[in-house]
Amino acid sequence: MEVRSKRHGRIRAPFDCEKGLPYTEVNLNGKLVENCEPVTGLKGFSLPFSGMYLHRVKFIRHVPWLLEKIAERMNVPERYSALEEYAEERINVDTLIIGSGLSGLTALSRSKGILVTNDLFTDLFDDPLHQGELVSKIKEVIKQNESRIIQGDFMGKFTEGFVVRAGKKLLLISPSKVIFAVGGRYLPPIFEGNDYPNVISRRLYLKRRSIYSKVVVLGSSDDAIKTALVAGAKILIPREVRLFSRRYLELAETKGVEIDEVNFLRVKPKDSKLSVEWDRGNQLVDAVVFAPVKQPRIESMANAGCEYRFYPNMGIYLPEHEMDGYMRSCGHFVVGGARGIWDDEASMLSGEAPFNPEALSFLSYHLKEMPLHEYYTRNFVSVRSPYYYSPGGYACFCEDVLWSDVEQVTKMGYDNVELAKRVGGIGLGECQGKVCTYVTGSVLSSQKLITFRSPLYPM
Amino acid sequence: MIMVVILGGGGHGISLAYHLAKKGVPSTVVEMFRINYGSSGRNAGRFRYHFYTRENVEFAKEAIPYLLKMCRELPLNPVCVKTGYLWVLEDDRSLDTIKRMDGIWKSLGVSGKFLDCAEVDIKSEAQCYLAPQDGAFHHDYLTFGMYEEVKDKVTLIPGEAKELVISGGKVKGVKVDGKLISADAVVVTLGAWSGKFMKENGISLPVEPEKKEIFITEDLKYRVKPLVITPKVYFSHTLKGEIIGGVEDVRERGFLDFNVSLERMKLFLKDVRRLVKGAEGIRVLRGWAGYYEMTPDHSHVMGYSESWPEGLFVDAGYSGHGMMFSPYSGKIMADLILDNVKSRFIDIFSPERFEKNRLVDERMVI
Ligand SMILES: Cc1cc2nc3c(=O)[nH]c(=O)nc-3n(C[C@H](O)[C@H](O)[C@H](O)COP(=O)(O)OP(=O)(O)OC[C@H]3O[C@@H](n4cnc5c(N)ncnc54)[C@H](O)[C@@H]3O)c2cc1C
Repeated sequence: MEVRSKRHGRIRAPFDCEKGLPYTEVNLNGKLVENCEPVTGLKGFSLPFSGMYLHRVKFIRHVPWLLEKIAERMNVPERYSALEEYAEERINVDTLIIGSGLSGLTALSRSKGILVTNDLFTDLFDDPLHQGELVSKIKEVIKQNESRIIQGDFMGKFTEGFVVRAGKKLLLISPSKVIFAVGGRYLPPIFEGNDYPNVISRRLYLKRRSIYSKVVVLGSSDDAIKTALVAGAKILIPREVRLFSRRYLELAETKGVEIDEVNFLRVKPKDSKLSVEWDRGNQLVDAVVFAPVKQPRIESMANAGCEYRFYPNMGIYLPEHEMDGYMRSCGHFVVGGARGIWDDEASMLSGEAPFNPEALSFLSYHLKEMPLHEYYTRNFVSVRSPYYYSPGGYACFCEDVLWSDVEQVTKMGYDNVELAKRVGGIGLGECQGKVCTYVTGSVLSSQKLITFRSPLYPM
Repeated sequence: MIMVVILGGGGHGISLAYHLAKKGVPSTVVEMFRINYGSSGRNAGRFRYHFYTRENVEFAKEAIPYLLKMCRELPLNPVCVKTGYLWVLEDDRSLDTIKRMDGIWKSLGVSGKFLDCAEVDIKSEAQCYLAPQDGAFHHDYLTFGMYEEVKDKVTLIPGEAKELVISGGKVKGVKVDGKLISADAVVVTLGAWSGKFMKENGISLPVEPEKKEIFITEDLKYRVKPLVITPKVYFSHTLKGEIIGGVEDVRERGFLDFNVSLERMKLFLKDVRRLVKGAEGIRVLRGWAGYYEMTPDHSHVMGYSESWPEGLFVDAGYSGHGMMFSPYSGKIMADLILDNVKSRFIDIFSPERFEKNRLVDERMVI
């Protein structure tokens, strides 16, 4: 489906089909339609003007009707058809698990709780590198615990309690313990052309593998290597940013995966392909696939009152947690990708850890090999951001905020995410900062993101 | 040169710093979180002339043109636009009130007009009342625009102001996290926190927080120009396409947490979906909460009291309408503190009015 962006009229498509991310839902004559279709036509007229013109061009202030005219021309829906009302129901649950990746399902099999998920079959099922054994084991867990799995969205904390939207019901829940198994996501790095359709996440690539023959991979994580192995592709990393584990680096070497450091990167559409240029090379590809680093979905945990911090060793945000996953600030637990883990075994161990001290020592041993380890030893060292390839492109896809606008406001001294939101306008669009705040924060080494408010999905 | 320490980095504190700097006087602002952490970063960004009391209308008649002038000059554009306020008179009470107010507003030169709601694209059979002089602005661009202009003359001290230091009946400074910051004048622009701070320093100032929730929807093609006020909720369309608004209810005073409630979110959505064409199924993107700063008569407090230590000033207590007044109040306060020029509003809104029983009984809190 061809979607035009709100202000600049750019052709856009989802870079990942996770619910709640930009362009995954489209309003067609008032009806909301899920959108996860690939786009072929990449070029079209667009006007990538800087949002800072609003301030800089004084003339605008003397023609009050001008902004109204612009508002009337923005690509936003004309109408929203009436929706059915939700029925509310209060349910009693002691343990609520949110998310159904390896760790969440492991935690479910270990507890008497209820699990809520809006994506039961996670990318685990799409990855050809996964042995059939793990996948069938997980399918078995799902089958055995079906009655305790609710398909729904965690909407966040309200005065009335936690709210879960399941079908046409709103469930109000006040559990004594929440286990956040919300996983992590790959977010688009910064470079000119980062918003073109077919610049996609590893997750989306795995779903669509059959339609892309040639790709290039961006990313400094083990998952970038995994992706390159599946795709037979080259990896581009920002200068000096290597967050790979030793095991995967060795694997890349034996399998002959090329890893190139990049100071400059630009992507442009060429017919139905993307032309990728960097300092020392160029390629014509069907897709640019990114897996810079896996960023935990902090927003649901922060919304529930759990503290998080910037982990400079990887340029990501981590919930403040102990080895067993306990988050002291809010009294809840975090497991798996939500605590920065991307490795299958460690993920399962982390799902056991809140219930089983033995798993805990295995887990701690396992994490020693990974760049996450220094989080636990509190040995913080800054690296360059895994998201920053070269200046240009978009900081925010929902509101069309250019990366250069963020640069301008940081130069003015508004150099953290909250201020970049207040003065530069990031984090205020349809996805409510689920993308741009993390990427911007990582590049700016911002200690905090924004306040992730309820509801966590449009409601 | 006089050392002025301003407590609170909201619209009022920053406006005062701005006006002091314009007169060549640098100042210090003490802020416990960040600029616009308080109500100044949480409001609906609307301005109006239409108040219940003559005093507040007269104040607005000076303050709003002043706001509009600042909007044209600041380095960030606060996007001031005349949109009007629209009362949807769906019950007898609001109809009666507005009928009575219409006469008063006419006499004060800010008349509005009655019309069918349908004329302004509002789906209600009721009568509406449009006050066309009123409008909208962007709260963050206003405060940060003022700050941006004078930031080299403002020292921002992060931390919580706790203790006023007083000697010989005069203000000497304030303690922030145990550290003394010397001052000839201390100005309390702590918004909803003003009463608490003063009380902790043994001075009674009746400003109390009242939690308010506010919501914003997904984008809809820009079509509802005015701020719409129904008997239960208020809302308006932003130039970005969202509909922003909240519920008008009275609740207990106090520093309640900033969660939002499903209950109020539903009330807000109900009226938006009912009244706005095309919004029949629109959804909420986020909600947040802030504090109205309530005084006994719902009018603000500015100036000083003879019973206070010399050099202590206040500018706070604007209930739900303080953002629009922040530029002008900062100017009045700067004139008072530096030049001893007393605007007539310093008398009208003096903190002494509560003892002298000269209340400015403002009943239109929106
Ligand atoms: C939901 C809502 C909607 C509103 N809508 C409108 C509107 O449409 N139009 C309008 O004009 N007004 C509106 N208002 C009112 C307006 O927001 C306020 O009146 C105004 O922002 C007050 O500004 P201030 O600078 O006095 O206070 P604040 O902005 O609250 O600033 C006070 C600052 O003091 C800081 N602070 C507190 N205690 C301490 C301490 N001990 N030490 C250091 N710092 C401290 C706080 O962190 C805060 O930043 C609304 C308010 C709310 C809550």
